[in-house]
Amino acid sequence: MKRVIGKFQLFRSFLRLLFLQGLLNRRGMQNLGLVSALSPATGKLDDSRDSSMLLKHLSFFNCNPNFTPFVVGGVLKLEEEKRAGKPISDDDIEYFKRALTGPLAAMGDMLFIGNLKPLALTFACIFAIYKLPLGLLAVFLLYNIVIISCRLWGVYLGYTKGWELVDFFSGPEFQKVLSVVEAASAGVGGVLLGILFCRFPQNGHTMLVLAGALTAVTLYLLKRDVPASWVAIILFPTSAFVALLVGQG
Amino acid sequence: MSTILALSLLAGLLAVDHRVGWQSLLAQPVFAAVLVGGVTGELESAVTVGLALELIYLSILPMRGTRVPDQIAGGVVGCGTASLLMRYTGDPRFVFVAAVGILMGLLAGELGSRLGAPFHGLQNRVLSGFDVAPHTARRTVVQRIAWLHTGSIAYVFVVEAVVVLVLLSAGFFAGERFTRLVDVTLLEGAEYWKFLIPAVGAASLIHLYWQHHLRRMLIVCAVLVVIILWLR
Repeated sequence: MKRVIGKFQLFRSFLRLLFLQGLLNRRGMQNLGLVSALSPATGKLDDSRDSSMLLKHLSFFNCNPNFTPFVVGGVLKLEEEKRAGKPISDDDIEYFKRALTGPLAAMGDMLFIGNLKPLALTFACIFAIYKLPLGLLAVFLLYNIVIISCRLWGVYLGYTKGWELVDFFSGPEFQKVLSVVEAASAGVGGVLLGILFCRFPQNGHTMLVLAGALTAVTLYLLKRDVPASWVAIILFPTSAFVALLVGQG
Repeated sequence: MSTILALSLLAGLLAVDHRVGWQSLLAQPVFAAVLVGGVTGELESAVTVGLALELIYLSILPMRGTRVPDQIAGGVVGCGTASLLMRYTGDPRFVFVAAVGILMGLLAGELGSRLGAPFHGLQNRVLSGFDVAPHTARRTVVQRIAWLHTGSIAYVFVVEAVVVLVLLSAGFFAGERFTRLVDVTLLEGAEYWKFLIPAVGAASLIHLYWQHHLRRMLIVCAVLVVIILWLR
C-alpha cells in the first residue's frame, strides 16, 4: 500500500500534541486536541474540502497526554488504509479509539503521574538538599527527553502499527517497565527519606523525636485524605503555641 | 514592583507549560525556585522554600478528578516572598524569612486554586461549546480550532499571571508586616515549624510508596542511607 502521509505531516501532528491539553474541556475532554492533531494529515487523506473526516472525531476522547500520540498515529494509519480501499469503516476506527483509549489512559497515568514524575521530583529534592544545580539540570533534561521522545515515537509507532498497537500493549513488556520504574521510585524515595531523617538531629535530638511524632501524625492524617499542605498550614499556629508554652516554662 | 510583575509573567509561562504544554517539571516548586531565584537574585532562599514546598506537595498526585493546590502560585509566591524579603528588607533571620515564604506559598497554593477555578470554568464552558455545522469547509474548522487553541493558551497565561500578581503582592505585603511585628515567641515558633516541615515531607514519601510490593524497597534504601550517613 502506498503511503500518503509523510514524516513531515506526522511531525506536525506531534508538535500539536505537545500542546494537547490546551483544548481540554469537560464535554469532550481531549476531543478538540485530537482533531487539532489529526488536521495536518487530513488534507492528504481527503481530497474533498469537506470537514467530515475531522468532525467524526469530535466524540468524547480522554487519554493520558503522553500516550495519546499512539492513538493519533493509529487513527491516521487506519484512515489511510480506508482511503486505499481496505474494508475499514468509520465504526471500526471509532472502535479502535475506544479499545485503546481506556487502557492507555490507565497505563499512562500509572507510569507517568504515579511513578516517573515522583521519581524525577524525588531526585530533584535530593539534588536541591545537597545544592547540586547540575543534578537538577540533569533531572530536568532526562525527564523531558523521556516525555518528548515518548510522544514523538508514539506518533510514528502508532502510524506504523495501526491495529497491531492493541497487541503491542497487550503483552507483558509494559508491566515489566512499570515494575522497574516503581522499584526505582521506591528506592530513591527511601534514599530521600533516609537523608531527611539524618538531618533532623542537626537541630537537636528533641527535634528528632518531634519530627518522628509529626511524621506518624501526618501519615495518619494523609491516610484519612487530609492533604499534606493543610497539615503543614495547621502546624504553623501549633508550633507558635508550643514555642509560647516552652517560653513560659 | 517590577520584580513582582516579572515573577507574575514567569508564573504565566509556567502555567502554559503545566496546563497546556507537556508538563516539563519547570512549574514544580523545586524547579520554579531556581527560576524565581534567578529573577530576584536570591537563589538560596528561593531554593530553600521551593524544596520545602516540593516535599509537602510530593504526596499530592494530580490524578483524574482530584482538586489539588495551585502549585505554580504556591511555588512562585512562596519563593518570591522569601527572596524579595531577603533582598529588600535585608532581614538577617534566614530561617525565619524562609518559614514566612513557605507559609505564604502554602496559603497561595490553596487560595490560587480557588481564585483560578471560576476562570478555568469559563474556559471550559467556551471550549465545551465548540460546534460546527456538518458541511463546513475543512479549512474553516481547522482555523477555528487553531484560534481557539491560541486563545486558550493566552487565557491560561493571563489568568495565572494575574492570580500570582495579586497573591504575590499580598504575600509580600503580609510577609513584610509579619517580619516587622513578630515577637520572640512567634519567631521561635516559625523556626520550629521550618525545621519540622521535612517531617511532613517524610510522611508524604512514606504515604506515596507504602504499597505492599514497594514497602521493602523503601525501607531497605532508607536504612542503608541512614547507616552510610551516620558512619560518615
